[in-house]
Amino acid sequence: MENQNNEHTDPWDMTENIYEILANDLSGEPLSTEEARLFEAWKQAHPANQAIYRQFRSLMERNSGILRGTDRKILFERIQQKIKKQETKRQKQKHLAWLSAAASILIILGMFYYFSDNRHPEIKTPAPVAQQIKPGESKALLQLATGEVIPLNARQREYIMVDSSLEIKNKAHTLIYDTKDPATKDITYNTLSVPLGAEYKVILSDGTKVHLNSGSGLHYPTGFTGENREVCLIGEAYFEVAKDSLHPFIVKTGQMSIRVLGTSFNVKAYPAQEQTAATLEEGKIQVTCQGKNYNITPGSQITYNTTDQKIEIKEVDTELYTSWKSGYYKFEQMSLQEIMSTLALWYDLNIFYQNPETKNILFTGRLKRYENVENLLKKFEQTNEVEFIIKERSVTIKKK
Amino acid sequence: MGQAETILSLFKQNEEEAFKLLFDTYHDTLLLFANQMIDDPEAAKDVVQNCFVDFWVHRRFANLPNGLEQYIFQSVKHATLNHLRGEKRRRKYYIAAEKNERENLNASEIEWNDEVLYKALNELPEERRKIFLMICLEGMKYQEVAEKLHISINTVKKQMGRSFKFLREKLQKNIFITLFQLWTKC
Repeated sequence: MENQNNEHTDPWDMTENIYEILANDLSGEPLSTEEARLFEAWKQAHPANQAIYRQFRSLMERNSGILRGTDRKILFERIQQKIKKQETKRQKQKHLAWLSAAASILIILGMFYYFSDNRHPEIKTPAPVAQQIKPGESKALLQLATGEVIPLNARQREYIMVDSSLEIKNKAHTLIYDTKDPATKDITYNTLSVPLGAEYKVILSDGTKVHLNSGSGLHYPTGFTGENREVCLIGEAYFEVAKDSLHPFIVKTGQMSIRVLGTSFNVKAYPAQEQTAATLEEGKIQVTCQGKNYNITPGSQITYNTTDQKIEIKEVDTELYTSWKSGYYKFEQMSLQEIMSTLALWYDLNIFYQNPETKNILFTGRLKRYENVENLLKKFEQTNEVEFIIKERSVTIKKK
Repeated sequence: MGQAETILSLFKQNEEEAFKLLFDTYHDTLLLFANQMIDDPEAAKDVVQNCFVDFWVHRRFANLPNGLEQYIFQSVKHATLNHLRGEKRRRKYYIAAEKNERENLNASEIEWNDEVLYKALNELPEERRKIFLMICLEGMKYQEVAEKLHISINTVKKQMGRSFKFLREKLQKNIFITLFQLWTKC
């Protein structure tokens, strides 16, 4: 009853400046005798006033001076430090786990080719030494969640795995995932490893196409269920990400994490090379590198160099970085060293420089990816700048 | 209502700046909110900092169906309760909150009420909010605030009076009944 009566008279607003008196009291400022009297009367006027007063007093007393003389800038910096620490920790944990998996795959891979070579000695033709260097081909190894490793090549049976929730097909050098029940709770991870001198494609369960280049590996879930669509990459791959604005697609590499909603881009992140690069063809990506975020626009490339720890964003002719997926290499004013490191991966070569200054000679041109390596290197020799000595898998480069 | 939306739209253009603005806007009130429950300033500072870290690392701004403010207060609240549970320090607040749940009060209403005061602080005009936080969090006297901001003591007094008037109005609307039940039963 009392409540109802008081709603009209509003017991809290006894005098105009009651809140100033209240503020004075709560802030520890002295009250005049008249103010103290008014304040007492206000508190007595209604139990609600006392309740409010207690709430305010608790707020003021408990928190009084807890940030005394604290610079907010320093607090903000502390948060940024914590972020940096956590991001590197998270990355390390993920990559350690995955890299050890990838390493074991590569060992198995090596064994597989070793044994398969020995098992079919009759296929081997004693070829001249230089001709042993063949361009890459379509082959790869798939490791299932069970640990089972399946070699993939063009003559592979079409169905790799079919069960109630998942179907994996291998067709035209492409591995295709089809998740029938996307709501399935247990996510399983597969790893696709492509040896040196090979390439392979995979279409993930969300429709994203990934073209893996030589000496690369991709670790991915067989179905995407979480908030993000996350995959891990070592080496080089070209991504055409299926559009899904609600579930960002994230590519993690040793040094960068690339976040997209739907777009096409190339990522080159070979652990043995000091540079990691992401090149955007279309759409929009966000790259996290060294704890910072960068928005990349189409036609741009972001690079991170582990040696000088420099991050660079520049406009590029994207064709130079994505042409490999279309079966050719395009070079424009590119150093011989950079060109040879690309070719070495594709033809599985060891490169030696007799004259280090040749590393910096710039070349422009277009090479077919599936061409014989001798013919290809001849084109460089025609410029009269360099000479190649090919011995087994080793190529020595001399100044002409 | 503007500030939360301003921050969110800034996240689409410049994430670093948006994050800084988020910090400038919410850090102090979140700290008040956390410390009010924990009553341990150092632990409260940690809890709030970790919530900011989580917000950035997990890119929470990309998916906030209930809005930014609701999310950030909830995340601090959960972290605070986790801290209290972890420390096994069942403080008065915690017991009171549990008691209310047991007595079948609308739990979501209580949760919402808890944050009203702190969210209201964020609705104060910038200058008024600043003065309030200087006095409360930094423990400054009216005289010190007046000197620092080059205003008269009387202005400080008036601004503080208006802040408490505004807070009381907010509380009256939202928290009055719950508070009263809480306190009469404790």
